[in-house]
Amino acid sequence: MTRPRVLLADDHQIMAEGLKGLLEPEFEVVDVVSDGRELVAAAKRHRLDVIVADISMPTLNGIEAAIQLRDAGVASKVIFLTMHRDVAYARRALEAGASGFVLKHSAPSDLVTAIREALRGQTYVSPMIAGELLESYRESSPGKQDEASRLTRRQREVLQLLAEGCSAKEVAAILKISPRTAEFHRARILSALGIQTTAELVQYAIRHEIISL
Amino acid sequence: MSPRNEATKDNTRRLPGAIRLAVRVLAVGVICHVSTEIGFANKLPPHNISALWPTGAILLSVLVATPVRHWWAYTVAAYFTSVMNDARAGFPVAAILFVVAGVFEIWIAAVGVRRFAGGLRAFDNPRNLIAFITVAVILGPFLSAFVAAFAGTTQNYWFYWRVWFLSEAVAFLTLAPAILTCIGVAYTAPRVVFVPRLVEICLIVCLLIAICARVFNWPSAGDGSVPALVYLPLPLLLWAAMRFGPLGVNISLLIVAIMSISGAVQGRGPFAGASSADHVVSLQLFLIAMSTPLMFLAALIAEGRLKAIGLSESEARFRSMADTAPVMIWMSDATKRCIYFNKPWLDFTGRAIAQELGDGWAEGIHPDDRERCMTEYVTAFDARRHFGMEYRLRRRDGEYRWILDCGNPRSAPDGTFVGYIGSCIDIAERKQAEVQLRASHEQQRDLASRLLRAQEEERRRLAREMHDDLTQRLAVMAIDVGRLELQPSLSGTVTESLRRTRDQLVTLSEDVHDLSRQLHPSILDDLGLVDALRSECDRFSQRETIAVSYQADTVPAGLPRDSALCLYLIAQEALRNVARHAETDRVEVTLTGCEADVLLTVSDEGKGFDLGAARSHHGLGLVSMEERARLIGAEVSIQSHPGKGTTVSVLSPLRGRES
Repeated sequence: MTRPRVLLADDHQIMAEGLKGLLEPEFEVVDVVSDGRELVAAAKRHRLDVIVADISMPTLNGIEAAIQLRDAGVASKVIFLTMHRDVAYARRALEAGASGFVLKHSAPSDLVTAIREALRGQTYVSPMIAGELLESYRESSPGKQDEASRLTRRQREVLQLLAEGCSAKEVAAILKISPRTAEFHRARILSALGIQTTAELVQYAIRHEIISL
Repeated sequence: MSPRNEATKDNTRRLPGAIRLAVRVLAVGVICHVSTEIGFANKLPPHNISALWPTGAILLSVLVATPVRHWWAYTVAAYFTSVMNDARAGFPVAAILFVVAGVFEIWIAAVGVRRFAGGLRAFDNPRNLIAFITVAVILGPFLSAFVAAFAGTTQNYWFYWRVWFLSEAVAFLTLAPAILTCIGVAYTAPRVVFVPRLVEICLIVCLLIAICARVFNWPSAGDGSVPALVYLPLPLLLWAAMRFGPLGVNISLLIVAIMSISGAVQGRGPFAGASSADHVVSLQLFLIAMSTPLMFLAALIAEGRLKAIGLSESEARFRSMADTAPVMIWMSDATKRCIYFNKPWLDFTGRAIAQELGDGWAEGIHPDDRERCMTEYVTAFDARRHFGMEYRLRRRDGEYRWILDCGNPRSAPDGTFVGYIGSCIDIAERKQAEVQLRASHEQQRDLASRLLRAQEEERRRLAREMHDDLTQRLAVMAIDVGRLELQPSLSGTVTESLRRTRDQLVTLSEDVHDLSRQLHPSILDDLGLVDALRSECDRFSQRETIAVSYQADTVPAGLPRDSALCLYLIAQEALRNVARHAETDRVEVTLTGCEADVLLTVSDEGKGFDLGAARSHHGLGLVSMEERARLIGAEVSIQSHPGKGTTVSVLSPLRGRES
């Protein structure tokens, strides 16, 4: 039975060596690269099953490299291995098509598990962060938002003043912001609501009971 | 001539008081004796009416010009002849009445003229003249006539009343003014007399005498005499009024009066054949009608002349003040053209007044300032507004100096706009200090920004070092320990202690990672501002248990690294403020992009604060927010009211700082 072919990408040499030692018994480490561009080149050159990549790397970070590979049609699974115990990284990694997100210090057990899962077509996230990740997806799940709540509190304030007939300048004076900022809010509100004119804006405000007649 | 010399000379010239008074009284006595004789001699038949009683007018003039305490002496002297005559006649009642009425009348008039008509200045302006005519010409004769009229028979009371009134009035209207003005002129006249004026006076007097001789003293042509001839002296009287004022008119009128009366007495001229009292009356009325308007004319002229003298004096005062003032002064007329520059201005520019007048002065303005300057001047001028402008003006040595020029509209006493008056001072030193100050401010800001950048760079380097080296090494150690842990040959206790070691390594590694993140958020470099802020919000909400609603909308890629870091740090600072001061459990963070700008807002509905007070208090870091924002060309606005929450907005241009 041939061992799965793995590429390691980490700009820290001792880490790369450690990982290589960790993986060798079970996987064939085809190559070790130390930056994002090399990663892209190597992944295209070798036929790989799994790529284990750090996120923070010089020239091109791991996530960008993964996106480039996906766009180039490279089908290898990507597992990110990072120091960043941060949901933002994890989300970004998964959005880039990663099959795993593993924190470096839980590497020995988690990394091997992640590679195995990836090979089976599953996605693996280090348990230390999985909970937070789920939570963050739940919070930002769309659906409950109606149109008006697409606006921020400040935008609703501006909308009300505009609908009441204030000019951007007057809005700026009332809210003690610069005229440029007020103008900015106005433009954002119009584009967020998909409307063009102040008249439509007034109609919108009445319909949503932001102002009353 | 020294004052001392003058005093000595004065003393030698002046006789002791009593003697001087005696001499004067004697002189008045002699004059009055003569005048009384003339008066008696010039009575007109058939009632022996005097058209003009001279003694009263002479005494009045003397009293007006002398101290009240000497009046009794002059009065006695003046009436000496009359009383002597009366004594020879055995003091008839009529004579005594005349003396009493005369003294009564003259004292009233004298007091009135001194009190209300300005004394010797009674003819210098219309107001004084009216007062003179009222008290001396009308009131005195009017009242005394009631006493004097008793001298006549009862059935002729009003006739005598009229005779007395008119002859006294005419005397006070013609003779008294002439004497008073002569006395007045003697006090004030310049010592030097211009020959041409002297010639002119003589010419007027001679012509007047000649004309009066023709009109009043020509042998009567009977019914063929032309009454209109009496107007012949008028042009000469006007001439005298225009050229010599009250003095000219009063003397000329006296000449006319004397000539006309003497003509009438001798039975010549238009008032000849004075067989009835009516002719005397018509002569008197002629003199009154002739005198009054001409005296008014002269008074008006005198008043105008005095005012003109006053004006030219104030003008001279202004000039001397302006020329010695330590500032440059200019004046313009209502057409914006300059009509005056004071000496300091001319000394400064080193140019002649003729070169500066009109718009010439503008040539001295620095070419770069000229247009702005003229626009400002014209704009202010058209609005009749005060202006203050700064420009460079060429000094006589060719150096352009900064001056401050302040102009004010000026108006005539009746309120009409007549132009501007302005003053300028050299502010070159101040200007230079300003420039230096601004440069040093700029330097300071530059230094501050470089310091801030250097600090960021250093923190970034340190963070990178910690993250790339320390944490990685710790992670390798953790991995190694983990691998050991997986060895099946180890006993349970060893595995357990290995696990604890690994946990400690993980904690240590995470602590270092956090420290690194505090030094510099490398997440910004890795994931960009949107995710970095989201992560920061999550962490904040976990740490502080304050719900953060984070919305990022259409934020364009390619926000400069400096700007991203700045927005991130400001958001962090604002969130920290919320946690510390707002006392709320929710905060809203938004990041919104537009074509050219990115807007960050952090707003809460907490307790807010007073912005003015907060600015001076460093805890809130408002100043550092603003300073940071300035570095990337962003503007920070902070809106907060006690009880109404706080909103921090930062609008940052996508292109970074434009300088």
